[in-house]
Amino acid sequence: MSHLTRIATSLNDPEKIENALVWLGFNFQRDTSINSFNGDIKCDFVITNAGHWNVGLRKSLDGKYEVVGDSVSWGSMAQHPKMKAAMAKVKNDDRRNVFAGILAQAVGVTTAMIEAAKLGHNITVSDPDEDGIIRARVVTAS
Amino acid sequence: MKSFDLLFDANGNAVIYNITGVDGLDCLELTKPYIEEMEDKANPAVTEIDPEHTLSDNNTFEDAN
Repeated sequence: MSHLTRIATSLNDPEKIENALVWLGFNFQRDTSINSFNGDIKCDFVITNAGHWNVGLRKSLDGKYEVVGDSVSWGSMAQHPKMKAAMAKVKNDDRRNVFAGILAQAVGVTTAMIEAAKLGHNITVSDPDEDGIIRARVVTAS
Repeated sequence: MKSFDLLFDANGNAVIYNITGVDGLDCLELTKPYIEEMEDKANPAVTEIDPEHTLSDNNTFEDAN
């Protein structure tokens, strides 16, 4: 049965979230609503290429962002190139946790990429593997 | 060549490993910006609030049961 779910994160920086969404290859819109079986829900970010029932991120009262999506969203999300490997082996209801975990890692990755650029380091980053893990190698300038 | 690998766990925290061409205090200095950035700013622990929620009529969340 279709139902709405939300997942808490400790993400609190919209700029970092935006960088992560770009790196993950999502199309998204700011300050719009997601379609849900229960109605539209206002979100700060709405991923628009995750199927008809979109996935959103909205700021909660504690200032941290939560992932919001209808349960049927995750089947479409599993087809996304950077989600495919990690979501292939998990049940639909567990895919929301995979998504949140990968998004959180992507924030770390894009932060590291920015830091590496500042220091003149080269950084190569892998796509999420089948366990949902992202790895990066940093080679220093000197 | 000096290099190190960053592994991002499911909580978005970075683990530094496979350090090459660096030792001792140099290693700490080299990795410090990454550690600080990860710990202070990223650190996005993921916790599922509740597996199932529904929306009330006034568009706020409430427990399904």
